[in-house]
Amino acid sequence: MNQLLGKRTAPYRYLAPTLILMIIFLVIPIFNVVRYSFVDKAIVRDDPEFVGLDNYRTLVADDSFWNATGNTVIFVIVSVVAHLVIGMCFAMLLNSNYFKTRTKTVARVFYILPWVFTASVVAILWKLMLQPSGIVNYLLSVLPQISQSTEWLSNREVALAVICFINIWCGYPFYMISILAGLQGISEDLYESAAIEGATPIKSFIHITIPQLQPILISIAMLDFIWTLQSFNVVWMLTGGGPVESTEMLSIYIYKLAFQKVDYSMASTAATLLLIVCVFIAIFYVRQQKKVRD
Amino acid sequence: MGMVGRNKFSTKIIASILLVLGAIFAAFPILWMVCSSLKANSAIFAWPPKFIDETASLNSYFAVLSDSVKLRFFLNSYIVAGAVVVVTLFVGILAAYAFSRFDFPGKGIFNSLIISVQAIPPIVLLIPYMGMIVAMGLFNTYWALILTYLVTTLPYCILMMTGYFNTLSKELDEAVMIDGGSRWKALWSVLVPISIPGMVSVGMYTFMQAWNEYLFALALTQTTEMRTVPIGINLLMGQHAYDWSQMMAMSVLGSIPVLILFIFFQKYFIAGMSSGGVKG
Amino acid sequence: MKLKTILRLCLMAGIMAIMAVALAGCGGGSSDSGEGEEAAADNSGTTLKFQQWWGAELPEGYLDEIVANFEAESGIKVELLTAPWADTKTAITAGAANNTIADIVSVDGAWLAEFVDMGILTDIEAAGVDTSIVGDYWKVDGTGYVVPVNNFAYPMYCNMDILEEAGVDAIPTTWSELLDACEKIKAAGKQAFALNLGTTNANGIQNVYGGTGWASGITLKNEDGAYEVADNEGQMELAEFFKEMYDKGYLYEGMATLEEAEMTSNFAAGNCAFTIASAATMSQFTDVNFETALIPSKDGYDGEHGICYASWAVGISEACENKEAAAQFINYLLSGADGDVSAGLAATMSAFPNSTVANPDYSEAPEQFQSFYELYKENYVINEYIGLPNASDVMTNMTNDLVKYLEGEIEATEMLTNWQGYLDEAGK
Repeated sequence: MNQLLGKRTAPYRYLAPTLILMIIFLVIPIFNVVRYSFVDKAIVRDDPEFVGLDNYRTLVADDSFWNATGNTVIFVIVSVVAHLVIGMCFAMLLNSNYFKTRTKTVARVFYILPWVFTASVVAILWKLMLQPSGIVNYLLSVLPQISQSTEWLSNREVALAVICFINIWCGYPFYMISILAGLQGISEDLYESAAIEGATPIKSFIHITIPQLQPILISIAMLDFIWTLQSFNVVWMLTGGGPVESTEMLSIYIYKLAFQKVDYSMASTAATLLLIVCVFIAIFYVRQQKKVRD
Repeated sequence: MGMVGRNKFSTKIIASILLVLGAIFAAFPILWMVCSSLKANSAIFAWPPKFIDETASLNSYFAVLSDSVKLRFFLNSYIVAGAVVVVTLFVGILAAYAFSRFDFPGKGIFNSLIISVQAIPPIVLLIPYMGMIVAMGLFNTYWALILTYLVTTLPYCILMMTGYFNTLSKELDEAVMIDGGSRWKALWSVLVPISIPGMVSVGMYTFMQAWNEYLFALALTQTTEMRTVPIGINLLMGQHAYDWSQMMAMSVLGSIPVLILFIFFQKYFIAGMSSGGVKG
Repeated sequence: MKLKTILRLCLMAGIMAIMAVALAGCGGGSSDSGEGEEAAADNSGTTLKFQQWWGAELPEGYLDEIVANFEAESGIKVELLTAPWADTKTAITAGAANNTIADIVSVDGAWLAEFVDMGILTDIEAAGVDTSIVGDYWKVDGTGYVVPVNNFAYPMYCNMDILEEAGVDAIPTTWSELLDACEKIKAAGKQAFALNLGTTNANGIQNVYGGTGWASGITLKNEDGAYEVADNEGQMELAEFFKEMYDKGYLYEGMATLEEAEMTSNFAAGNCAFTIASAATMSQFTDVNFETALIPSKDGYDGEHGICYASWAVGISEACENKEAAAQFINYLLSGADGDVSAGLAATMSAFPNSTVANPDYSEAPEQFQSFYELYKENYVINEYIGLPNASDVMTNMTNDLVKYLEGEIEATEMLTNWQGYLDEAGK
């Protein structure tokens, strides 16, 4: 009898610490945040007024919100795709047979460097490098279009692209490592038998490498998507959402609402919408994984 | 990837070029960071910019290392990050074991929950969260930060370790249990030792997260003795002027231990993430 | 295998033990604010918490010394809490929402309205701050909440080496002289004039743009105190002046994301001819041959120059449990040691004291500051953004529109109409 009881509750017992921690420290605050989105003047007043869906209506009518959403979508998609592509390139380089092990080890250390530094300092570093009288313009000034006055981050048209580039630079090491590990898990036999059958390297890449890596790629793509949605520090220190809101992400939009305008209700509203989107993605992912395993 | 004869040579050239270009792409800004940390503050904006100029000195590094306040920041960050890694791994492994070895009602829901809570922007969470910490009397202590980072790094840890355990056959557990051991024993004496590579990779990621976090560290600590390195770096950003070279110096100093850890654990790290969780 | 498990458990236990010790031994101060052992009339034995960013800008240990002297005199201990300047407002609002706010908080002009609205600050006169000895204190709806300690004026810094190289003989005093000078400087291949329109901290519109306006008597408000920007001829002229500078390429590149810190560091490196920045930054410009001057005024304007200023100001939090002690400390800052505390703070930071009993000894200050001091005495200080509700948001919006206008996307009339809208809507 005891054993049966133990068996049934076993998973819950193992899960208990996690659940307790997450309920206390995440679920309750999140619940509060959702609650704030339904009231007006949350936190600043002791007795906020319930306003139903008003905040949501105001939010959806705000042009800045859609601007931020648009920028975020571009930023996230470009970042995720590039992280995977660059990560894949570097991983394949590091996994290939062309180099000695020591070269590869040294290269690995080089390639991981962007990940090791604090985000805010990296942002300031890039800001210094990209300013009109900075090192980037100096080195590129051999090209006719570039001079001491070329603007990167302060030019509305290219600012978003530059931010994407910097974010890609900051984040690719993590994906490179994940893909590299995955590549090392693919058995050499598969490639050998493909080569024997006359497959070109490109074909074996498409038909062996990608399918084998698919679970990894989907997993880290989803994680990257969620993490990049939240990304705040790098963009804030680089441009603060400027120039003229051309690099304003949802995270910056929310920050400004919460701490510049001190309007926690609206900030909570935007955050709740973001959360709902991610919940859908998460459910979708979990269902996918279940299918794959069964 | 096998290829025939002469083609091998030219592809090797291309690959080598790519390797070097990649290294420049990755390391050039870091090189600039180190150069900037060696310059005097006013030289940082000089035109034309030079890599090493007349003002080059280790002054910024001395300033950071001789300041006991700043050293305390490093100590605090290490304590917090180290504790977070230990507790995250412990709690995460338990949860991952549950997800990997059992099928139970609510499994899918918990899984989705754990993944999706990562999506809430920390900015909005700050004030309600802080309210709880204050109510618990943990304000301005290490535990405030440890618990905070714990809940943000747990999801990833669980995801990874679950996938890792999934690749380890259930027969391993059964072998222990047939011998009369409990599940607990199976977990800690068999599964965990094999999973060390996975744990190392999760540990490194967790350490980085705890080390770099700024907003909650700012809000949950109040006195200077409890501050961490990211705040220390931001304190160098004054109202009208920044101390650029000290900022760079502090960042370089902060990253050296992480880099050393990475080099040391490299072999685990790579092997770790392979059969590791990302396969789901 | 067994040994391994034991070792692992020991390791974990050891780590837990260390953490427990760390928690017990090194855990920082509790979250009580201002609890005293005796609520005696003399308040000694109380500990106050002072949230500020000044400590990092003053010389090492300066603020600690002031605090130590105060403790010796009154028995009240003041604990200094420092947060980075850019996040002090966040720290204060988060603290207010959770009852961990300090007793005395330093307040920037742009935050005043929001703090009062949130009920964070308390009436300083009621608490006992002596407002008769100060030149000015900040009120909202008739109640005084914040008193400035140091006022920083914003002169225009001129790099004399660049001027000489470009063949500019004298520091320009009118707009047309400024345009001429910029033309020559540009021809000599240098950067002429810096305008910081970055929005991480949108104060360029106040310090530089607003400062240039106030120097010619161009204000946001009319005589009745209402915002009048849309049909304001002066504002139109100001806008067109900056547009001319932009079109002719006199404005320093990268203005749309330029922040004050970069602007001053750029000037310190000797790259830019004219920069309008706080007097407090003067100590950075050790390698530059520079002079301070008033911002050039409109051609034909001969009235007094309004000089932009910012302050280091303090208020008492509503949650403070011992407001009299807090007021005592503020009074000390203003008039302690016969005004020497305030005088010292002012002289050290190249600022002007708000306290009327302080007589700073500027002989140790940079000579450029002393020459500016003479100019300052002949004119007046003004900053229309202090106390503006939702100031950061309004300034950011105004800045965005200014960038659009300068880059030619909208017309001046549209920009001014938008500004009128922002100012009228502020705080509603």
